[in-house]
Amino acid sequence: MSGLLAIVALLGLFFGSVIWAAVSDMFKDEVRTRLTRLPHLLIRAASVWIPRAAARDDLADEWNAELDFIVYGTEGLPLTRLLRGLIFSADLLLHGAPGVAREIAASGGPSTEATGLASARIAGRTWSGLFPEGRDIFYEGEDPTGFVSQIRTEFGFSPALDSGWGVKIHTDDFCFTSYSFRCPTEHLDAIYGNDRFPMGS
Amino acid sequence: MPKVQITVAVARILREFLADPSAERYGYDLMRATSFPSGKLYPILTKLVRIGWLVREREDTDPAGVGRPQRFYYRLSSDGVDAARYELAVLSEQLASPARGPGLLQPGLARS
Repeated sequence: MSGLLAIVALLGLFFGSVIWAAVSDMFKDEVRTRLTRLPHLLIRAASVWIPRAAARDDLADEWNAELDFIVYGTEGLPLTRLLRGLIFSADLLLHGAPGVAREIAASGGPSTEATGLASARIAGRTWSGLFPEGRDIFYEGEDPTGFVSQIRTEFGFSPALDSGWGVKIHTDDFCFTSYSFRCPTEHLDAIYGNDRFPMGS
Repeated sequence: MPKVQITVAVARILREFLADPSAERYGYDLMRATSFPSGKLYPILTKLVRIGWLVREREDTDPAGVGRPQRFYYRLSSDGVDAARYELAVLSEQLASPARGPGLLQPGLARS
């Protein structure tokens, strides 16, 4: 009789452990799935803030794609990446989406693509207006001699005459030559205020 | 001209774009570069797109090929390059000491 009980107990233990293992795996799968979906749910909730359907779908696409990249494409262990994704989406829900919604409302239309956007040209504002006495600027290109020649021909002055032109600068790591000059205010927009010359300040 | 208030946060983002004006930058990439959380970054990006300084586009990839959805990237528009440089120069000028020297926000020294 006691032998039979022992066999039953052993069988019970065996099947119990099998069932426990299966339930445990299912529970882990359940938790894993729900956890990985949670950031996407937060983004879905965040997109509710966006006032227009087209912009809402568009932004949700962007945020979900970034979230996928964060969760699956960044460095770190799975839990770290998931946490990163949760922070990303939770902050969008709490702060980002309301802010984006305000911007879209301010624009009077969804700001989805660049086409049709108002020009950002600085109407009425110029570099010469900002710096009426000229400005110290730096040539950052590879041909300072050619630049001097071009400026002299087109604008009638020579950057090379400035005391800041061709100054050797020595640091602990390297040496380089700095090409700085005072640009007269009347030429600032032509020389500095566009992409024609590689300039810095 | 579209009005935008150049806050320190906006300036930080503009400076990040001006480091390579033709570069395409993703949201997460900008979050890491600026240390801004998503809740701070995206409203600013939306504002800059709205006023035309940034262009926002969907990347041209095949989601099945790369194994993830298409992301959106941002880059400076040509007007945005001018405007960003101008506004950062204004800010730099306001913050700079009277002494002659490189700007605070854009120390552009040529190397040879």
